[in-house]
Amino acid sequence: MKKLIIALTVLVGIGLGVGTASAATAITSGGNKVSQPPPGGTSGDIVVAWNQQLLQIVLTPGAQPATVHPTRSFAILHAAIYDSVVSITKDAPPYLFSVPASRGARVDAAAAQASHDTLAALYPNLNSKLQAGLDQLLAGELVAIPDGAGKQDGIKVGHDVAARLLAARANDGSAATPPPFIAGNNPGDFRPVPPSFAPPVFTGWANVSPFVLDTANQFRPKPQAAITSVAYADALNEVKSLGQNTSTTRTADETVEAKFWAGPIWNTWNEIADNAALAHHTNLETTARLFAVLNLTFADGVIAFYDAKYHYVIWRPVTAVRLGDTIGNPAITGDPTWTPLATTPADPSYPGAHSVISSAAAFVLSSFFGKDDQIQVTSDVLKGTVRTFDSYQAVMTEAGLSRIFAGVHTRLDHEAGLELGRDVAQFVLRDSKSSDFGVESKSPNAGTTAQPPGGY
Amino acid sequence: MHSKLVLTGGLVAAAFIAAACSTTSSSGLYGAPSSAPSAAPSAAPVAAPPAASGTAINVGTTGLGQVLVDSNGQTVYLFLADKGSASTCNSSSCVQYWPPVLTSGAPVPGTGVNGSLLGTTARADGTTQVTYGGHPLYRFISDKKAGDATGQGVTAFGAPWYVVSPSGALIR
Repeated sequence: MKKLIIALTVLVGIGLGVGTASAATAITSGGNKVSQPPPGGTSGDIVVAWNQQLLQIVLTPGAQPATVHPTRSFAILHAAIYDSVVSITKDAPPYLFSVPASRGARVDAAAAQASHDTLAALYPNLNSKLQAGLDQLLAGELVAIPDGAGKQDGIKVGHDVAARLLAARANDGSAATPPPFIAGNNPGDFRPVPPSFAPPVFTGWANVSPFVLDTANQFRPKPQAAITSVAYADALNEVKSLGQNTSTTRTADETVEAKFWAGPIWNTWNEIADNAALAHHTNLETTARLFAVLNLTFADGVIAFYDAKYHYVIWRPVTAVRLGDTIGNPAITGDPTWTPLATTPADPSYPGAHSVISSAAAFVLSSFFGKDDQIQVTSDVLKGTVRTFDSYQAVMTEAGLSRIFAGVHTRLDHEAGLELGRDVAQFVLRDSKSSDFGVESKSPNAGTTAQPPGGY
Repeated sequence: MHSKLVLTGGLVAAAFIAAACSTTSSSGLYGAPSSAPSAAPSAAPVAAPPAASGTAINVGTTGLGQVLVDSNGQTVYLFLADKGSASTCNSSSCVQYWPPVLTSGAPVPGTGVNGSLLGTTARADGTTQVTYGGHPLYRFISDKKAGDATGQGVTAFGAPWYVVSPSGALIR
C-alpha cells in the first residue's frame, strides 16, 4: 500500500502543488514530493498567515524574551504545522512525531489548531491585542471549514501534535540563564562594543539542543586568518573604507543596502518566503514543508553560528580599526575615532549571522522554487523601499555584503558565514527527504529501517 | 492481525549485535546506575526477583486500559522498529524523546506482571534496558504523570510506538 502511494505521488506530483513551470521543475529536481492535496489542502495560505502572526509578535518590542532566540519559535511553529499535516496525509515522515489520524481529518483545521496552540504556549504573556490576534486568526480559519467529523479530527491532530512537540522542546536548554562573558584583552579578542558597550548576547545559545543537526559544532568554520596576515589586513581595510559612517568610497546604493538589511535577517527571509509561497500558490503540504525546512535550518544555523562566534570570540571591526596600531600587522593602520555606519551588534564577529542565514535561506528557497525567481523584498527597517532580484543567490549576496557597508563585519565573516549556512541547509534538506526526518543521520541503526516506516 | 500482536520472546544474540553497532549515544543521562553489570548474562528471563537494584515494572491504568508502567507509574512503550530484543533507538535525539527504561539488575515484576516475560538487553552505550516479551521498553518525553499515554500510536524515528498490556500484547 505504501508503494502504491509513492507511485501515485510520482505520477501526479509534477505541477500540482505550484503555479509556475519553473517552480514545478524545481520541485521535481529537488525531490520534494507533491501529492494530490487532501480536502482543505489546496492552499498554503494558512501557513503564511501564521508565519506573519509570529512575525508580528517578534517585531513587537518586549514580546520575545531577550534570552530566547526567536528562530526557536519559528522552528517549533512550523515543525508543528508540518507534523500535523503529514500525520493526516501520511505522504512523508514527520519531522518528529506523527499522531494517529483518520484519512478524513481536515489538514487545514489541523494546521490552524497546531499553530494557535504552539504560539499560545510559546507566548503566554502577550499583550491583549496580540493575544486577540491569535484567537481571531484561528476562529476565522476554523469557521471557514465545514462542520463535521473531519474538522473535529483535524483539530484534535493539531492539538495532539503541538502538545507533543512543545513537550519535546520544553527542556532544550533555551531557558537557561546565559553565562556571563569575560572579555580578553589581546589583539583580536572580542570585547563589548561602542557606543553602549553592552554585554554580549546569547553567550550560551550553542548549548541549546539542535533541531536537526547532530551537534552545534558539526559544521564549525575553520579558524579565521590570523590578524597579522595579509588576508586579515585586506578584509579589515575593506570594511574600514566602505563601512565608516563618513565613508567616501561607499556608493549611495550601498548605503541604502546597509540600512535596508539592518533588521533581524531571519524575519526578512521569512517575509521573502511568505511572498514566494503566495506567488507560486504552493499547496498546504508543500508550504508546510518549505517553512519547516527553512525555519529548522534557521534555528540550527543560529545555534551553529553562536557556537562558532563564542568559540573563536573574534573582535568586531570597530574594535579592530580603533586598536589597529596594536595588532602588529604592517598593512593595518589604526584609527581611534573610526565609527561604523550602523550600530555594531553585541556579539563576536566571526562568522556573520546575516551571511549564515541568507546562505541557508537561498539554498532552501532555490531547492523549492529554482535558482531563478522574481523576488521583491521590502524592509521592516527602511520602510517604503522595494529591492528586486532575479535569484535567491543575488539576495543572499547583497544581504551578506551589506554588513561590510554597515561597518559591522569583514568579508572573512561573510565568507565563513556563507559556507556554514550552506552546510546546515544542505544537511537539514537532505535529512528532510530521507525516510527518517528527525533521526540523526550518523546513527548506524537509523539506517536499518530499510522498509518504509509504518508498514506493519 | 491489526488489532493485536502477541509478542514473542526476544533473541539474546541480537543484544550483542546492538552492542557492536556502537553509536554516540550519551550515557548516564537517564539515571543509569554506574554499577550496571553490563557483562552479566542478561536476557535470560527471570523467574524470581533476587536483585534488589532491578527496576520495577508494574501495571497501571490509562485511558487505554491496563498497561505496563515503570516504577514511577509512567507508561512504557515498545517501538515497532525493534525487530528483536536489540534497541534501534540509539541516536541521541531518539533517546532524548523516548528514554529507554534502564535497570542495574534483573527487573522486578510488580503485581499482574508476568515475570517470565521480563528480561534485559544490552544497549549500544553499555547500559542495560528492560525488555518484555523480548521487546525493549521506553518512556515518552511528553508523558507528565501516571496515567498519561501521549505516545500511543505516535510514529517517530521511522515507526510507531505502542503501549503494552500485562499479557505482553501490544495495544493499538
